[in-house]
Amino acid sequence: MAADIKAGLGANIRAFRQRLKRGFLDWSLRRSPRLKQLTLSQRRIYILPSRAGFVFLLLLLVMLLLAINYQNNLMFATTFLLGSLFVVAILHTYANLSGIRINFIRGHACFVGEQAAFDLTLTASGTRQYESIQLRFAEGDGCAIDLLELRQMHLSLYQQTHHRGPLQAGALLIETFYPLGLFRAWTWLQADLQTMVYPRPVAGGTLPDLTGSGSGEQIQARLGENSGGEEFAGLEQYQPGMSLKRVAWKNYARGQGMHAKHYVELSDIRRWLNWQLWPELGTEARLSRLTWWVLQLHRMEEEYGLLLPGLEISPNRGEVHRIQVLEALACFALDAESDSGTAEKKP
Amino acid sequence: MKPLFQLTRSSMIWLLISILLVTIPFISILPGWLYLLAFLTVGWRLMVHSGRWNFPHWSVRFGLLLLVLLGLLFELRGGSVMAVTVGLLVSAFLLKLTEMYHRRDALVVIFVAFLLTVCSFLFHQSIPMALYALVCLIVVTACLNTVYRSQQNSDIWRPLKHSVTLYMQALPMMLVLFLIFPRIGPLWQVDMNTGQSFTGLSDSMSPGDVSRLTRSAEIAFRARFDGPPPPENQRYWRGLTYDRFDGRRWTRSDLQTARLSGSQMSVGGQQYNYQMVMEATGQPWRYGLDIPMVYPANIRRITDLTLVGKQPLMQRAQYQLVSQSGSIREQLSTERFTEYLQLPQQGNEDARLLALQWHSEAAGAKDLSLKMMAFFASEFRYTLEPPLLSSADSIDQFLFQTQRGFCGHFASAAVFMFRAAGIPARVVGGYMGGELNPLDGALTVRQYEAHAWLEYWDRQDLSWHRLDPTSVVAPLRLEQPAEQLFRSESAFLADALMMRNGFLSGTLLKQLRLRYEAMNYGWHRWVLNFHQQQSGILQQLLGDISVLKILLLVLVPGGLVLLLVAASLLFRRSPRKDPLLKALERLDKQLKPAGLERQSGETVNQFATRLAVLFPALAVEFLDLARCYEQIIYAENSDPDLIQRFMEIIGRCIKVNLSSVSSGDRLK
Repeated sequence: MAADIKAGLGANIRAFRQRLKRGFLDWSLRRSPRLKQLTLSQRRIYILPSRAGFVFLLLLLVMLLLAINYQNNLMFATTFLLGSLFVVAILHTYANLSGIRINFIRGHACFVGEQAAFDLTLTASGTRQYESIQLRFAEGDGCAIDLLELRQMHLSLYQQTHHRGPLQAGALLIETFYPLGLFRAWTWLQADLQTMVYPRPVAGGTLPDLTGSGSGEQIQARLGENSGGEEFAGLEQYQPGMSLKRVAWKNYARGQGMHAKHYVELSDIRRWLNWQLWPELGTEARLSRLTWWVLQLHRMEEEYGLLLPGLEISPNRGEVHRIQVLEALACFALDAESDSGTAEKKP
Repeated sequence: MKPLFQLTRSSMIWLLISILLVTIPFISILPGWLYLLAFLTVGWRLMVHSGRWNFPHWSVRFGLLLLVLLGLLFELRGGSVMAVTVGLLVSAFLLKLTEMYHRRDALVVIFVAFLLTVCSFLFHQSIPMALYALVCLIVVTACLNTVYRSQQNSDIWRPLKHSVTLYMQALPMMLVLFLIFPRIGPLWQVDMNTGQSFTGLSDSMSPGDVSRLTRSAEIAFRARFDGPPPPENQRYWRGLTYDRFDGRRWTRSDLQTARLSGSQMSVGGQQYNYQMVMEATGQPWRYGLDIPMVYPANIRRITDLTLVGKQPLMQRAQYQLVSQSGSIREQLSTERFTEYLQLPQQGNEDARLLALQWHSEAAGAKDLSLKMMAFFASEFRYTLEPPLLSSADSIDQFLFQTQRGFCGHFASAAVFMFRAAGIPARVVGGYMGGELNPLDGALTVRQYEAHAWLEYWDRQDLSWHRLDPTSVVAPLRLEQPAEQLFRSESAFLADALMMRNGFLSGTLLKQLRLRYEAMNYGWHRWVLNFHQQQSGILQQLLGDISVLKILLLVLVPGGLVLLLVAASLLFRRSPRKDPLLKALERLDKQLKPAGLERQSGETVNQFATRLAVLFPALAVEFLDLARCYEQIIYAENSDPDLIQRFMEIIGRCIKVNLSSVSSGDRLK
């Protein structure tokens, strides 16, 4: 019984602390609008003793008691020296964060389940030195940087993704314990960065092409090394790792060096990635399969188009086209069915 | 997800250094087997560090822990609690070495190191030790700094520099806090016994005991007189009196230690006002010159007019006294009268006979004392190494056979004979003499100045009189410092070779020694015993003390220092501007009204060419300017002539009124 109550109490306290943290986060985020660049100043930096700092205070108390009870003035002196050190550490920890300028550069698109990268630049102010600055997104791994001789630092931070669609950069935590770990200075920022999260690619299905000249199976087979059905387009410098089947041995025998034959797809194969292809799948699964096919076709440098309910992208090829198609897939029917998803996406 | 911080190799080394530094002050206190543990764990850790061994298995660690706990329990039976506590902290330290991987482990070690540094002051409080402790603090703080540094940062001196800076900035506030923090009494009773041993007088005395003290040059106490100190042969520092004799040893009866009942005593003579700083003795009594008349509240005066504190003196104490030197007028009660006549039932018959004979011849106690002094003056010799008194009648043996002895022998024999003659008497133990330091006027009394004399009660004037047989046997003992008198005796200062071999008594070195002692005395008075001075100092500083004034005293300097620190941290001067750029800016300023200043993105060369076209009169100068600039910046030619020339041209261009030239040109 008692254990139950205790456990319940513990859970309650945990929940309370969670709520407190959450409340503080919301409050501090409300105070800072989304920005492209900013300089950390006293308006944003919060500072409190860290856990080690509280232990240190306890230690000081023990020392003071010792000094009082032993009437030992050198003990008093040491206690006060360490106490003053504690106070001075506030300034140093604060100074280790204040004045840093942060520029948010860009976000990189990714697929659901991957980590979205956001690029930012930190610049030191004046001649001041910064050490052990830790940065991380609310959900994501952190990294620690120094700004000493190097006055500017470019870095990428990663954020876990759960849903497709446009993604705003989450709350960014910048914190430091330097120099003594007795204090934690930190700030929560809202970066004005967004990126696109594409559906998770899932392999499967076959793809009939509209020209009728090939089936999905053939394409599957062609995905291998065999590029025989394609048109010879010329020679290119052999690079280690290229298939030996493609080496132009005749030229090599003539002593002209190692070259590989280069083929291009026949340009008349145009494919439509159609929403209707796999009626047995649900929305997300269909999007996943379509995404996979986009990637495959892009790799084979074929032309492909996209047919979604209410949306048509005519066949084309290239990087820009790929991004256009993937973004269309990412944003498809977002408002209708994943309201809850977008709501959750907020940190 | 929070990253898990592993300790870097450099912070590992800092940790090892801190552990070593912090442990050194305790070497004399810790039990010997802890060194074995230290050797084992530090060695193991170094092997792990160099990658040769692995961390010990948990069972090994657990076994070590058990062994250490058992060992410490064993130590607890004999040693002091403080020493065992320190032992516990140190072994926690050492055991932690074998399982230190993460930041949290390092923090445990560092915090224990801080605590140990503070605890070292329980055992040592000298100036060098205080400086050493400061070094320890700085190193441990540097270590704490490395724990929070990132891996890539490899400048190993930076943490130390950082730590020194932090302490410099913390120092002013620490001083203020030290000055004003109220020194309240102990909150609860603590065990002051730190296991150290003391030299000094004890509560029983056999005749040879005092000469044992002359082996040591340790300081017994220091005194500083408000006026001139008493003359050399009057510096009798009473410590305690012995009233009970068992044939061999003198001890103190209960009667002796009873509180002084009334004011049936009076003392005449010169009055002295002085301050004592007494070293720890482990005993309750306090020393004072002759008869203390005014003494602090935590000390009481017992019936023999010596001082006794509430507890054994485990730490150096400072107190203010007013003493009078002179005979004590006292109406002895019968009880006390018989107590001061106490002797063993039998033994030493010859001495008794001699005493009775003198008594019948003499016309009172005073006369008898003269006879006795004449007797001592005739045949006796004063020596630190008297022959052993093996007989049961030791007094007889001393008086009639060996006739050589130290002050204890003379005092003891004299009191015996007084009592045998029916005159109350007691042995007094204390110190005689003291070295006056001309630098600060403090009188230093060392252990080798320990002395024993006696007091007898004369029924004619109802007073106690001091009598020192040594003064007739060895009159020089009263006139000159003990170290000169005893120089030839091998037992003298046997434990203090430096002093004995004259190393510290040559004139120049003596000067140095006196200077060092004056400094030490100041340290004791102003730092170690600050709690006994504080209220006086604050009163001098503030007039009457009020909460507001104290608050101001803390907040104003504290705030000021913090502001300075903050300013130095946050408003770093931007890097010094290149003098060339500065000069160019001056030129720009001149051109600004005409709207001709250097555009952003315009190189110096383009700028100069543009100006040369605009001002044909100065074309040569401008082109030369560009050439100089390129030479200095791009060819990295740091020839001072070139820079000089650059400055000259700029100066000339500015002097010529550019705006007028330009307006003339524009009119064209």
